[in-house]
Amino acid sequence: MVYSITYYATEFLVRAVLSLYYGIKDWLERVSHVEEKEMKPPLIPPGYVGWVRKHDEAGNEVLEWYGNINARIPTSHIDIVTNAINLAEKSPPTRRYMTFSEMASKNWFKEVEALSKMIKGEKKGG
Amino acid sequence: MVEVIVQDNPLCPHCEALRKSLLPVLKRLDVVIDEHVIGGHSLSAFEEDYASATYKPEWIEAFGSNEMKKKLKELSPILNYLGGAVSFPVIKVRWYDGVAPREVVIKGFPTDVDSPDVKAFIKNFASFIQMVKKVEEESQ
Repeated sequence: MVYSITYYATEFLVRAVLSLYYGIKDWLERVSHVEEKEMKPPLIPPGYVGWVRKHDEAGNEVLEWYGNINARIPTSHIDIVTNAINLAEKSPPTRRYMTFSEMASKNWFKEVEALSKMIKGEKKGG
Repeated sequence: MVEVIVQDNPLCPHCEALRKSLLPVLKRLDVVIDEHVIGGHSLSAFEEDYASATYKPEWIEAFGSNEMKKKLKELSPILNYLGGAVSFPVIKVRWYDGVAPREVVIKGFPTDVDSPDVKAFIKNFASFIQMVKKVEEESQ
């Protein structure tokens, strides 16, 4: 069976239009899925080799080496000037107070999130 | 290391309910438990608990929210009394997330062990401990 040129032309156009339509639809869906996740940048970039200023288990400031060696220097008693990543100021030791009824509620985790957001907002406002 | 510190008193019915319901769950979760006896005629009778400091006007001035600070003048006599009192039971959960130590202090517990609130509390507390354990494992 032999088809005319007009048949092949219309088929090509219809295929092109439909593939474009479905392609855009799929792409938009994929983009929406990706955008839903808010990725936070890591505090220490991956592959970083150098000093990091942070708190130890007891809450004292230390300088810790990130690399192949385990090294930790206590610095709570001295003021040092370094180019190290300063996590001690970014996330200091925290203590949260709550009552029994707050923790027994169904939306406890949501409440904790709201509380942390409120505290951050107050700090920004001064 | 996730650490749970419980401040209680052997003569207090609230603390007895806490010991009955929460401590077995904590043992099952394999968490370090440290029990402090405070108040009454104990050796640490005059030791302060972790939670009552939050009622003190000095604490509210330093760390309180804006709403608390507004009502501070009206309530300061009651707050002074509550800040000096010793209240129990108090539960403190302590962990290290790789950057700094974190603490959560929970005050109060009901006497009725079979109430739905206690069940919800234990469920939330267990899930919280598991989450904190994961955080600590990831940080190491």
